[in-house]
Amino acid sequence: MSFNAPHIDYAGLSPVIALTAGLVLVLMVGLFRWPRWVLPAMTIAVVAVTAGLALWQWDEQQDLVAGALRLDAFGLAVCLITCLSAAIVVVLAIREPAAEEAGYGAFYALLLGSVLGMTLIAQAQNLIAFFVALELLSIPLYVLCASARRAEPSLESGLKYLVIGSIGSATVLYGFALLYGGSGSTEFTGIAKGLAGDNGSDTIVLIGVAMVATGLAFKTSIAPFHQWTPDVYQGAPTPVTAFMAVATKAAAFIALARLFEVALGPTADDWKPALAALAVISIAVGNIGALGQDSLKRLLGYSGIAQAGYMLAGIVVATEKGLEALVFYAAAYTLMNLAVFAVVVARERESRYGDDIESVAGIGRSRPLLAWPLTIGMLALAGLPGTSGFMGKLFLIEASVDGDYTWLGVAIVIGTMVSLAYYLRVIAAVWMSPEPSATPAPSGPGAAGALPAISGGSPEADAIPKGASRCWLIVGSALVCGAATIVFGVAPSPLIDWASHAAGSLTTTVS
Amino acid sequence: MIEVLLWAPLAFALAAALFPGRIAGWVVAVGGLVSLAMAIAIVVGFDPSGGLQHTVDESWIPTLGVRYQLAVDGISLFLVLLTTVVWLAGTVWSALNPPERPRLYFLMFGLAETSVLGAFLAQDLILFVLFFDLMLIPFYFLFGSWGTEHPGRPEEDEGPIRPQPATLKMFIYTLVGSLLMLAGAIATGVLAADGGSVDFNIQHLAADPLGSGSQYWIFCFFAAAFLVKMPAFPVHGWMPDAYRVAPLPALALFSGVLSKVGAYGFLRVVLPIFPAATSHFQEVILVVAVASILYGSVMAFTQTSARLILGYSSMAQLGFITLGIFSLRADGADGAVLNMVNHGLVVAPLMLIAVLLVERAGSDDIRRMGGLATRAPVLAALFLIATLALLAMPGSANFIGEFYILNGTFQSKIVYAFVAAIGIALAAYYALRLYQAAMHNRKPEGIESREVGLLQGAILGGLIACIIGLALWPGLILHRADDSVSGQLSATSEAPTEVAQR
Amino acid sequence: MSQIGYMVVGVGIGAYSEGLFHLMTHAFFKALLFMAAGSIIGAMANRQNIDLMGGFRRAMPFTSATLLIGALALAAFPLTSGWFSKDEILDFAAYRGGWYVIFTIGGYIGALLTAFYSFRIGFRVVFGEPVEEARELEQGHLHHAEPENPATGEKEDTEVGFPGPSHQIAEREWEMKIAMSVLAFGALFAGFVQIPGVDDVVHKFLHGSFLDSKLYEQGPTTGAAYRGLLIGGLISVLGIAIAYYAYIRNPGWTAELQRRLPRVHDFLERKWYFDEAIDFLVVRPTLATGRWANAVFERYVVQGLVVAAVDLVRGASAGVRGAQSGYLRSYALLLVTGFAGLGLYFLLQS
Repeated sequence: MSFNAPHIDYAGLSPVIALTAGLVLVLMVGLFRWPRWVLPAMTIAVVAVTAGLALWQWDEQQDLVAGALRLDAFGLAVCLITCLSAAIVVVLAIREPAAEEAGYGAFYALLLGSVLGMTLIAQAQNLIAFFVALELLSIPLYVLCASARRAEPSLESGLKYLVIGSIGSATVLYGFALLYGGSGSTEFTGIAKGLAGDNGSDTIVLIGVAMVATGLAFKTSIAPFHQWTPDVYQGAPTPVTAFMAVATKAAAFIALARLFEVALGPTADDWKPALAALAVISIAVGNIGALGQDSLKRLLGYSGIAQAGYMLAGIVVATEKGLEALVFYAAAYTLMNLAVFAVVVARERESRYGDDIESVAGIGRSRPLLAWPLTIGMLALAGLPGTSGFMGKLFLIEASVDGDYTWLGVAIVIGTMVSLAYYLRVIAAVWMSPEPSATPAPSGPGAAGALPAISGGSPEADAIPKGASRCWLIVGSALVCGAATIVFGVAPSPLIDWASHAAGSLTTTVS
Repeated sequence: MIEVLLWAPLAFALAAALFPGRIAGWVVAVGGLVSLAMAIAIVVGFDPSGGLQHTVDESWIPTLGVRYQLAVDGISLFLVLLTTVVWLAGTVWSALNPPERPRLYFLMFGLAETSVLGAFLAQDLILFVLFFDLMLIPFYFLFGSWGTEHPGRPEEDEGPIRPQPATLKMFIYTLVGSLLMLAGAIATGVLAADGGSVDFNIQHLAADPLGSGSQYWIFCFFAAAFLVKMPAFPVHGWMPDAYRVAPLPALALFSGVLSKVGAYGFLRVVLPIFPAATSHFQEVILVVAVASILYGSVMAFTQTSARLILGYSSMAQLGFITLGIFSLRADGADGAVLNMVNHGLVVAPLMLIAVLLVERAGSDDIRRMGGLATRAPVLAALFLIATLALLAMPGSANFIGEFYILNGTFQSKIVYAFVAAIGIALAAYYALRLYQAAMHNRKPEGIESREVGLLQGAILGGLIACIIGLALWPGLILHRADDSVSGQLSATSEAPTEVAQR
Repeated sequence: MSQIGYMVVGVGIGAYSEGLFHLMTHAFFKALLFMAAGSIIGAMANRQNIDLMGGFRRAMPFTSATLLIGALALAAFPLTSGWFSKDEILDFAAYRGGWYVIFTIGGYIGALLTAFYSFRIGFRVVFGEPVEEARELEQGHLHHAEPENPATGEKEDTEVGFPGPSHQIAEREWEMKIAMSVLAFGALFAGFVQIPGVDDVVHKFLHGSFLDSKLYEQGPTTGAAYRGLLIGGLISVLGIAIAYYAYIRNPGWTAELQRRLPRVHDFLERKWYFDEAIDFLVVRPTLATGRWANAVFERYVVQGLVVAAVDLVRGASAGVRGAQSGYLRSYALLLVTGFAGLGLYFLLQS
């Protein structure tokens, strides 16, 4: 009896393998006591290796694991983005009380697990693989959100995310079932074939598409499925929020793109208007909701909803230019958001205001090294010239007009106008306000109010360790991200070429 | 040379971060001087019938079709020179008396100058929009951080006006228009490409205009941006508060130059690229222009704040410029170009003189001023020359510009010319009212009349000398602008006429 | 103002060179009159009211002489420059005939009035009983007083510079004498450059500017011109005579007239109520428009645009944020509602 072992493309799977191995290693090593820097360094090494392997495989275009995964630049782009995000988040999480609560090994392992899930979902070409990856990326995040175990908001956010996330995942799964029923295949290409012709307009299929759209819209914070975002972002420990804000969005959008462009390509005319409507609603809700926020994390949550709306425009037009714009914007968005979050983390620990806007008031004078990245990040999120945000919006609007969705481009512009009010409010607080002199109510690590009795509640154990505030690594990462934002705002071509290559590799699958 | 002109201010402003705060201003002033030298060199070497000169054309973002393209022609030539002159004056004035956080302040000055020059020099539509949006950011910081609270008008139940909200209002209001323009600009390029490769070069877009339907809505977006910038009636709502809180040296630059970018945008971008829409909406814009003239003048002579008098007068003057451009005749547009430069040269020294008035009187309320000329003959003389130029007294270059504008409008749309001519009389009223209230009449208690200092007087003197020089030789601008202006107008349905040169 | 009227009439009817000739002569005699008046005012310590003046002929002979010379020229007395220039315009109007005769008749009436008023000043100031200031000056003492603002009567602040405490009269300043002499010469003799039938210097000088004109070379015959000049001269003398009668022979006559026709006097003194008319028709409406624009339009319409937009967005923001109740069940509800909407849309599509 001869046994034909399936061909395993180790080279192609190397990023995934590296992540998995790294995850296990970090988890195991974390069981022992080490100096504070060891585990973060290991985690960063793991993601660095993964990124290196991803770059090594950058030009490949083939199926892996019997067609369940697709190795192409489009998926690897997500790998690179998430690895970069994870590296910076690890830096932000050094000395984070939540990491200490969760046990460093577990914290970083969960982070790596989420990165693994994101890498897989972006490469998934099969409904089952897609769902597995979706869960793999979500579940560690549920735990990470709740990792500051003694802080009530953190627990609340984790629980909320779990419940709503489950609803979302369930919806996606049901939708997948309907898609399978309507098309007869779980492979994306197979689904595309199955939906060609009249099949695509079948009621069951369309309901399935609606359900999938709902579930994925939830994941990417598209309104009206956005309501978990402000609460979860605000409650979770800030490095985890940062990770969710950038990496989850990038991964989910790229996965959404692959699913809709490849699998649901034939039914494009049906879902394009629907997604366009969702994009406009997100832009409106996100920008309007952010206006009155005092909490920076909540503000960034709402801003993320609006930015998700902008990015959805890249998928709606279903052209190569649209996908290029999407990938570019995802990368640029990662950099600008990480710059902002780094400053938020730093100020959270230094000032007594937590993540309130008052914590960044007046830092233009007192902490210019933090003020500049924050300002650049805010200006970039607003899409003002000289920043990569402007280039990204330019790209998206051009793709919209090119794809006959000019009104969507105008919607992006109108959303930007509204967003100026809250982004500039932060900038005004940084440069134009004096430092707050009054001492607010005492607050523990990221919490507000008394600690719950069930979690123990020991003030000594909860105190922020001395020297946590002026960590040069955090300042350094903020500066690097800020500088990159300006660099790509002035000379965007390298990043655009990178994005074009990534998007181009997907459309070769489609056509 | 044009690259040095464009980037020197920003480069020197960034370099100033390495110097101590006391001399940061002077470092940036050196940068301004370099730019001025380049501008003068370009003016001297300019060939009036040579079209676009000193072109720079480099590939920048090929995927989006955006190229890095700069050039100067008859229209932008003197606006560039105006920018460098006024900026140098403003920078030196500020450097004499540096505010707090000087390095940041002068960084904003340098960034702003580069952005404005970029807007005048850009030949790629997206590059133009980029600089147009960029130039507002430094002014947001300048007005918001170094602005002062203004007591407002208690007799009209208006509370004090704080810098941050006023500046935010200005920024968002202006950007509403500018962002619509961005969408319109992108749409122009993509629709013109019609499936081929996207190209945003202004000349190329003008050579092959879009269909009327597209032109109409894109024109509206561009008009929104430029009308809000100038500002024109009725979208001037941001102006009163912003003008009352802004630091006066920065306001001199803002009022003198930035408002012109809006008018320039009409002439450079809208008229050649959207000729059908221009003809279609000509009367609408003429109504807006005339309304700006009348409303601005009427408001100017009822204000008691010197800043607002100058602000509303700028609105009226920009109304004249818009009138000239939308007469769609070469003489009208020539007058508009001349008056753009004139007004910039006039309002900048007036704002700087307002600094001196406020210093002596304690506030910008003209009811509290009076008799400041008694021991300040030099100041009074400089102020008077600028005031007479503001009201376009015959003998000043402003008069010639207004004459050309009204002549052009008279020939094409006579009714508008008649109504606009009322504005001339109103201009005399508000300009002289300001001068009289500040300089003449009895001196109230607590006011001290003091002569202007030597260095400040030299700066003012330089600007006033430019006004006088231009009054003696307006042909300097008119000769060089004529060809380019005719080129811009050739696409619109009105035939350009020969301009009688004096 | 009235002489400008003659010039404009001249230019309007085609008497180009005549009109400009009158401009030239008018410059001489009007400037002379102003300077003489300034000298008198100086003697009066800056008071300008002619009711307070009189009899300066002995105290200020030079000023009086130049004043009278200027008045003669203004009145177009025969052989003065004003006679030639003014009457040549009226000749031209007569030459053109038809409706233009109105200008001739009106011009002559005006000339009569001009002669009268120019010698009103001349006689009242120069002749008559010397007033106190004149008597002082005859003694050699120039009257001093606190400088006052002529319009309001307030005391001037002399620390500032102008007007200073000193004041000049022609008799004492040789610079003034030279200037006034030159002008007096011109006022008397400048008319001889354009004597009808003898020479026409001005006409030839301006020839080049009016090459395209149809009317330039036309004009009355020499005979008609002298007829007109004669009539003009007679009228001038008549006017001076009336002034002589009113102010020298019968000094109270004008005061009597004023008492008899008070309303006419008021109308004339208030400049035909022109100032009031302008104030009512132009100034007040404009200022009212300004106040309305400030109080109503700017506040409610222009700023209202901004306020409305801001309120709209703020309201929407309150709505969005209000929907964030914090309760999972409401989030799930919205999620399901959203899905229902999507599903409905897709159902309708299929």
